[in-house]
Amino acid sequence: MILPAVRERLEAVLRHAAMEGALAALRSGASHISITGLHDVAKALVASYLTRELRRPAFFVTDSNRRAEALAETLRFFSGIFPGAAGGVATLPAFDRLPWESQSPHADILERRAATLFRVADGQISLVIAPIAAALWRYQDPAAYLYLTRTLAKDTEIPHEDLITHLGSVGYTRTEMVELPGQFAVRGGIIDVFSPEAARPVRIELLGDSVESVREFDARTQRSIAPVVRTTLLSLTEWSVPAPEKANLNDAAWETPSFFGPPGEPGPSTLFELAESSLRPIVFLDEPQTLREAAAKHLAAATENYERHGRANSPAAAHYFWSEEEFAAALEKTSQIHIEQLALGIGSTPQFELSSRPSARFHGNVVACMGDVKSQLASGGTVFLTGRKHRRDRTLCRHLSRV
Amino acid sequence: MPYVLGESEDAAAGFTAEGAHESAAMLLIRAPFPEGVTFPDARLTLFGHADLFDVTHPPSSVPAARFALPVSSAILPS
Repeated sequence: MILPAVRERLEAVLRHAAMEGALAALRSGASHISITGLHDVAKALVASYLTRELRRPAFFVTDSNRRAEALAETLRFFSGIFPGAAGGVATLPAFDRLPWESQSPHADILERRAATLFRVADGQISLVIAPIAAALWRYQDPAAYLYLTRTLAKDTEIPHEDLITHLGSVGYTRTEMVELPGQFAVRGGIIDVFSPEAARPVRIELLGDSVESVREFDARTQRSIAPVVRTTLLSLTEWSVPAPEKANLNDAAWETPSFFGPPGEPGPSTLFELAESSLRPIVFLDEPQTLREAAAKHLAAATENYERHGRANSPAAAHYFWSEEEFAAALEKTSQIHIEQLALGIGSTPQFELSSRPSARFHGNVVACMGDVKSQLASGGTVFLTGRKHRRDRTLCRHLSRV
Repeated sequence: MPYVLGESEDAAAGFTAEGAHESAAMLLIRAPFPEGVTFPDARLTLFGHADLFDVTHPPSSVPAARFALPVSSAILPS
């Protein structure tokens, strides 16, 4: 558990005039501000702090999946120190394939998107990290994502066949024995299910149309471990694919899910409308100029891909993605915070500068590092030394006790 | 050198409380970022976990590969 001393020392930075000015502007209703001078760790610290202070749903938009992944752990770390209203932080990856390509998106991306969309719609997430390609996607109504997940507890009413049909329609694979996430098995009134992101699978015992018990079990030995109060069965896809009318429920064969959604109506919601809150969302735009270029490039690639690979009845790019103009209009309904290293913004956006720079690197030279630390402490500064592995933490403590 | 543990003992199993001082201006904590940041105005530095221990050389000192891989390598899909 992180101790209060950490938060107190970091708040000393966040009481800087730039941060107080930025907070005051946002609290008084400013729709755009820019905070400059920020390197990566500083961006994560500032975003977590503002999310905690403003108590509104927040979105952190990056230019790519890779960048979102790189920042996610650091954002989680600072959000642990400065938790938002709902507490959670989640990454919403963009699809790694376009809808007109012959290959399906990676299963891990499908799972993570479905889990994040449910959690956002359910109000469990304070800060969503999303690349611009995911932010440009046209989403369904939030209720659609809630519908894909089932929470079961003792005495929950759910017909046996409905549960089996539902699991098949949200991407679970029916097997003889459940060993991996995304699998389910049926033996009479007992249904074993391994939900994505769950530590263990659960054994649901149905009596008629009612849940009699829910127990965790060991996937290796198949033995029950302990009863659980309730279980949440997350979807593996963000779309429900109904089973064919004549499907035999005892058959493992299900229709292949349509990974990019039904070809009917385009999704009506933007990413920023998914949060279960009536408060105006905050959107952190990581280097807005880079985002603009990435958005234009992504939409051009989608149009080109449609023209090259789309079939006669394939929906066009506008079916799946918001245009740049539509996306800009969606951003106008949020509080935009441009977070930038350099002050590149031109125009009337209020700018606040919080100067930061990368810390020095010592490449294993502990003596030089300790000299630098001593010098900073002597001038009244505060220093955080961080470790990642236990062995190195102990090494660090040993060095400190000798200095 | 006096320091404060930034985590409780349970969570910071690798750290030792020996030598820790409540009033110290140096904090030890486990964090996920390899490269840290300095805020000069606030006189605060968060060193990343690779800033001290990572002994790899800066990228500029790594010699360039002598041969480039052919684009149509047999191990890559065409």
